[in-house]
Amino acid sequence: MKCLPIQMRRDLRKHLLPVCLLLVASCADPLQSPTAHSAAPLQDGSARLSGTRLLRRVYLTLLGKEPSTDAYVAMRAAGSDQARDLLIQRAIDDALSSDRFQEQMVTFGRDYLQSGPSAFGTADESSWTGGLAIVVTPCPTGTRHVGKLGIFRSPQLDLLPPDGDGVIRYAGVPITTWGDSVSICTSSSAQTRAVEPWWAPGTTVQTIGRAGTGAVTSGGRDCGRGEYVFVEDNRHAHIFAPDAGCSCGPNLIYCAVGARYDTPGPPLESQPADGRYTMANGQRRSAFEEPARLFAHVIQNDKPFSDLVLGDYTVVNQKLQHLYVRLARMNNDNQALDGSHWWQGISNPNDWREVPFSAMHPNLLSDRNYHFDPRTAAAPAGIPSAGVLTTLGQLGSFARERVSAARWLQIFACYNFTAPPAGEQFPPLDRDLSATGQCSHCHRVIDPAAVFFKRLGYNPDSGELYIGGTGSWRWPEVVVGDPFLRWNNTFVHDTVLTPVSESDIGRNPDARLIDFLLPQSSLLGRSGDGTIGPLGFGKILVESGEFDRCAVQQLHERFIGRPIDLTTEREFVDTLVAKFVEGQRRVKPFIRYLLAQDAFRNGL
Amino acid sequence: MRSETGSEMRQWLLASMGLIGATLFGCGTGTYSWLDQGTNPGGSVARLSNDEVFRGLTPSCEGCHGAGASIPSFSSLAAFENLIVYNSGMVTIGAPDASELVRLLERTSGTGRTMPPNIGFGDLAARGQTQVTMAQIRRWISELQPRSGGGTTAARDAVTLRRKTAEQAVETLKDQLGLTEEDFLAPAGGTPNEPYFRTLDVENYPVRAPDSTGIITDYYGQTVAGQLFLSLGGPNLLNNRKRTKVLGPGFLQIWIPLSQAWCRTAVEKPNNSVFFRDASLSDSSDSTAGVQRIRNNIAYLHLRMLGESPTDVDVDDLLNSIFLHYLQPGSSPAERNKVPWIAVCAALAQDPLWLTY
Repeated sequence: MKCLPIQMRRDLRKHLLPVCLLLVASCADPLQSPTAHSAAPLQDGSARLSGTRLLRRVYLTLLGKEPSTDAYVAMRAAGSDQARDLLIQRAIDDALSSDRFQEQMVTFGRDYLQSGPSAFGTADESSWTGGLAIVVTPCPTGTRHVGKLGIFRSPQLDLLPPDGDGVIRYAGVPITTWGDSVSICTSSSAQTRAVEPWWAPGTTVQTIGRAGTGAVTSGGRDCGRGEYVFVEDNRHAHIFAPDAGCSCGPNLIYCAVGARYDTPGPPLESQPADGRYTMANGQRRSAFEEPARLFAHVIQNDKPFSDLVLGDYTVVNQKLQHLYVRLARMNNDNQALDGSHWWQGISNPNDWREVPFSAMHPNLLSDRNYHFDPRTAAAPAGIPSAGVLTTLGQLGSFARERVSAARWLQIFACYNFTAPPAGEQFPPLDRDLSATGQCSHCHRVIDPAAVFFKRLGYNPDSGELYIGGTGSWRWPEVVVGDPFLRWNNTFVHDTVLTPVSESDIGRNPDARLIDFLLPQSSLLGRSGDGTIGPLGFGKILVESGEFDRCAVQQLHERFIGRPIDLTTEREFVDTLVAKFVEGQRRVKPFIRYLLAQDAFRNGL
Repeated sequence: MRSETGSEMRQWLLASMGLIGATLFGCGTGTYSWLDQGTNPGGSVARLSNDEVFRGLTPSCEGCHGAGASIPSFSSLAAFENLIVYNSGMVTIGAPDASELVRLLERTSGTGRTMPPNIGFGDLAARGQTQVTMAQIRRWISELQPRSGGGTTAARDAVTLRRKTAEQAVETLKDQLGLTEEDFLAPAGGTPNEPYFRTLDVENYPVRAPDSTGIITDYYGQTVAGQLFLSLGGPNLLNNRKRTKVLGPGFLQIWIPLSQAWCRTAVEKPNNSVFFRDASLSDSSDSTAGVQRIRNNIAYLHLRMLGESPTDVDVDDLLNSIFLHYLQPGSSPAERNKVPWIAVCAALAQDPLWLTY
């Protein structure tokens, strides 16, 4: 590295070196030490920030940048404390209403929600299937119908092993039934149609062959569901039309151009896979961004912060919305989605919009008080949606019910799981992890929360998200493949996680998926009101007060700059909670309150 | 309004940090000897002190309420006294039956909670599996006296400081030095949604968040840019690495050379009017007018980078101790001034007032 001469660097460090040495000598970050804030001389008010330094703090806190020189000069020219206060207040007002503040809240949201990759729960990059869409491909150059979109036999299917008679079949049908792009695209008799595609409303594309016929069933099969195939040889996945007569559906709603969506653009082969997180506006990137963008949307639009766990809406762009719709369409009960025309009126595919979950996925219900007991009824209509708890990105990142429970307790109840003290005795491990064995130290808290997330499960190969016990996702007669295989092993009757009897399961196998707390169990001191699914969990979080206690701690640390010392500031937390709740849990007024405190205005 | 100069503020900050360092030196945590056998359950109901009750309950409670827990009531005796003993929501002095602590331990809380969860301390105590009995706890509450002299409280209006996050450090320094991403990365194809870049020179310390969109195509450059970002605190959430905001050696050992390298890039950048607003690289310190322009630009950079108007003493300090000290031999002022301007710039970018807010 090109650095300054070492002697010079030594000299340059003269300001900083003492700090470095102290940092090495001590065991804590001095800026975050609980004692750091008691070392300042306050009696004479001398720790008050100057006008320009306070302006800088406002900018960095709310906008992540520093003021312009002109802004500093204006502050310097202010002739009185009143004039300076006015400039500070204006800076706060302008910042809170700016787009940049919203972007800062997206970053804060990622930290707050601990967003991660969805690869844990869903298909890896090479297997990303473009939201379970059937692939349409442009006719290749040099053919009669160059550029027209068709459903062609994937070259990957040719890699499947042949049956004993030498014929390669997929789903029991010879793959030649589907035809290859060259023979269809050079045919003079191929059907062509102009269709308004869902991805570009108000325009038309030319289709060839069956892609544009609009057929929704063929050979007795539902074309909208699609079939998933994974070719081991080249580690690629593909969603396949389930019958040779299947089309892309109305307005090509079952399909996407390539698995990549990025059209128009470079040749398909050279386009990056849509499963890559590095691709702006890509589908998987959008799923990763969704929770943090919802977080920022709630703050920016002055909605109650508790909407993060109680709300019936999320924010999506066009591709992410298509992912919701396609996942919903995997349930045969949701065929009405074909006519929903959700895609019309989207002027910019990359714009993020607030949309109710239920408008995209009919099994994510808007009913805020939905009860269902599988011991006495057959199948629910779905589960109530619940803000970030039911966003696709976070479901993939926190896949599995116990993971979801533990992570959400950490994030929204500030619950820290700690090791048991040495020598603690536990009952021998038995059927119930929440009550026996050393695992019970954490699982007695995790399992009553995990109950609420049991119906959500991924098929790790295809990325299909199941909402167990509903529509096509009822318990199968023969259990093969995940998530049912895993559920079958995990949901053990007569446990805290699965509080039903063996006979309940005998009457209704879906009884395993019971997803509310029975009166004998409690979470954060509450059993809930019987609302099923993640919303039931969200209600307990809020009603217990833990959501608010945790929120004010995190907001205080983010905007004031230091964590609250829970061992000495219990009453301060209570004060903040009262203020937060009094303001209907809206974050912006709470930020204004925090920024008006002396703690924000004292500094260096 | 406060009247300290920048130098005085820096000294104050350093002194504060020194005090903290001295306070924390060693960082040992206290350990507690076990209850004397004479106070163990089994005999008559002994009267226990706060410390004895704390030590008696700790084995049953610290697993969930120790240091680092969300309710750290058993992280120390002081925490126990603040959060339990003298918290009217937990203990009603003189009235065990009205105390939430007793209800939680005996499974009679109106909140439905039991401590320990789903077990109940009272049941454990009845089986002789605890270090104190419920009778002892009840007697302790009955005879408890109000706290004299007040407890430990935090000075909530005291000074708080935080260091810039990785994003803030990178963005603000680029902005103040007149640098952009093009000074570190060159376009290398890709698509509008996923542009490709290549690093111009890894010795310029290119920094890029690993969670960004777009791809740096040269593997070494991609690795360096991502690792530098992580060294500044991250995060890299796509690899489940959370943000750190510690102002520690790990941050500083990268920030020192990085800020020097970026200052060099800014000084060498042609026509960089963001950095050289009130002077030019060729202004000579040999002339009175040249010195005045250099002083003006130092004052401008001080305000721009530290958010504080410098006093004449501050400007003199930077001019005499740094700029003139590092004057190089050379035939032209531009040759002689390059290192001094880098030095002034780096001194400001490494100033505690720059690093924190």
